[in-house]
Amino acid sequence: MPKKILIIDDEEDMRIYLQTLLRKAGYQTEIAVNGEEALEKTKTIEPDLITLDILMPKKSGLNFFKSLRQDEQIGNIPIVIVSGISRHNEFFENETQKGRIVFIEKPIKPDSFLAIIEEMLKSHS
Amino acid sequence: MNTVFLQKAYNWAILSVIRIAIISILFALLLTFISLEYSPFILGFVAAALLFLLGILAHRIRHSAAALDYPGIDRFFQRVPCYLSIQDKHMRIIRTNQLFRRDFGDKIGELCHKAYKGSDIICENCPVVKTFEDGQTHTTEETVITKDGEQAQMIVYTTPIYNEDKEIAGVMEMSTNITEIKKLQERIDASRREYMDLFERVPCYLSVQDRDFRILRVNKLFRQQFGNSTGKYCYEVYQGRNSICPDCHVAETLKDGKIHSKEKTVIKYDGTEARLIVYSSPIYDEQGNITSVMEMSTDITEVKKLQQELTLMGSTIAVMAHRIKNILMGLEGGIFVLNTGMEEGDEATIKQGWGMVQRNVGKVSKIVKDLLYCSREREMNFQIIDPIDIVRNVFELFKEKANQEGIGLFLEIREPLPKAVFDPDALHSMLTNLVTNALDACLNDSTEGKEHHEISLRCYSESGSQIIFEVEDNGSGIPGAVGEHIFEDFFSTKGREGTGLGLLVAQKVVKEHGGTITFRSDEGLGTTFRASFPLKKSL
Repeated sequence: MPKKILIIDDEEDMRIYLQTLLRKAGYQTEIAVNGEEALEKTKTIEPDLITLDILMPKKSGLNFFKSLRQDEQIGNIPIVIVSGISRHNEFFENETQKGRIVFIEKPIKPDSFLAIIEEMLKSHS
Repeated sequence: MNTVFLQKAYNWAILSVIRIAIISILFALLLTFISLEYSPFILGFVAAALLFLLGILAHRIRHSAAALDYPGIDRFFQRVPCYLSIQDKHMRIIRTNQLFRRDFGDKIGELCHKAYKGSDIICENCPVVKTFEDGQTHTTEETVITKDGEQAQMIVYTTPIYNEDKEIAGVMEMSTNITEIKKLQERIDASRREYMDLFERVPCYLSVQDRDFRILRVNKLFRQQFGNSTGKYCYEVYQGRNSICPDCHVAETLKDGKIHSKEKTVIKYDGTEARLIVYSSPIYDEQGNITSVMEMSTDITEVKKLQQELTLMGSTIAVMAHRIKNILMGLEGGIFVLNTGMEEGDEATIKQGWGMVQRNVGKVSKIVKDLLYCSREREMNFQIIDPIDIVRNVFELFKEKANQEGIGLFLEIREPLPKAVFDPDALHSMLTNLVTNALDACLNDSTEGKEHHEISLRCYSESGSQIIFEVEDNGSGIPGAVGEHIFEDFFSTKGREGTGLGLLVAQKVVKEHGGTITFRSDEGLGTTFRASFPLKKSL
């Protein structure tokens, strides 16, 4: 069974790019355009990994993250944050140390991005 | 020795001389009549006459001096530590003291103007003459020459001396050498003039305020920019206020005696605003109490403007770099998707990739266009046009896009709307930017419970003299803190469509047309931008 990855990004171009990249690498992908939709989809499809943008309308990446971690069922899903913001929120620091999230700053490099995804999936399987 | 005794002896001697002289004349006459010899008579007569005159003169001198002589005074007179001399009514010096003799020599019998100044005529405004005339004390300042030939400044007092018949027998002149004091005074005056000159000409605003904040003195530059403010209150002059400013640095200096500095916006005499950096420094009296405060300010309006421009430029470059980075990523992604589509022979993926490339190239193009518009002096292309055409064009441009995003875009034109002078490209650019911002505000709106987003594009004429363009949205709104600097600072949200330069472009366009742009916004409720252009019907 291919691993399921949920791509959360409000920018269409970014969604298409990540989707194509991950699909080509053999993953099954789903998309969500904002935090609200993402929370719903996470509960339904229970992805193995999530790629998350921080600045989004409706529910921001940070709010989605907080809601996700509060949920026992889906709270432990590893997250790859893909953002234009290089400064990490203090909230994420703890998570970063635990290895449950990884930051990737835009623009991404496809090879290293895929390597990180693979690594995260391995360590959380 | 007893002065009275001396005087009596002297009088006796003089009388004797006169007597001998009279006897000599009579004897000479007798000899002449007896011997009838001519020359001994003449010789005797002349000698006797001379003796007679000498006696009279000596007597008169002595008489004058005697009138002034009092037992015991002489020693005091001699030792007084200033120059003392007594002149008779012919201005002849009849008495001097030791100090006088030391510095001016023995001048008894000389005319005072000759003795003091080497002059043959009585000095103008001579205090001795005045005292002889009115019996009053007089004071003057005189320049005299000492026996060493040096000039000296004197302050001279004169006072009358009466004889037994209550007549003014002489005038006593008491002088003090004030040459050094005078020099010191001149130096003080020079440094005071220098200080005043400096105060006046210093190229910053200077003012001195008393403890009640009333302006005591101002310099030239201050007067030029704030009017003659002496006597007014500083808060009145600077801010047009009726009471002391809340963060007054002068008050702080009055309180703690320290130098304080602040940046302040003030209103100048011509009504324009200026940004000043102000320093206040205490001025103390001899007891060490702060009596007033000196305020020194420099106009930093231009520096501030430059600083803002630099800040703006800095943040513009930073945001531009960020946006360009995103666009590059979009392009890279587009190419990747395109290649994947081609590798897989999947037309749908090819289309997706190609769409990404096109969109991102479009974004680069828009950024470059906006940047160019903001950065260089563009020659305006004013024409008489129908503003409705431009507004309709912008509406058509965004209609489909708004529709795709589920945002309602509405056009409201209130006719009649006259043709007027506009730069059509500039006006189009302004409206495009405002609508783009409105779209971003709607797309970024995460306000809960808001079901539908709408943008209204309006155009109408107001009071026959203005043409108004309005773009209203019910998007995220502008946070209060951001709103304060929206036109002066770089403003950007994570707009998908905007370049971040939109408001700068809009403001530039409005300014170039002589109009104004304002906005009102409530966070979470939406924003309305209103650009007002003066209605100009001919070029």
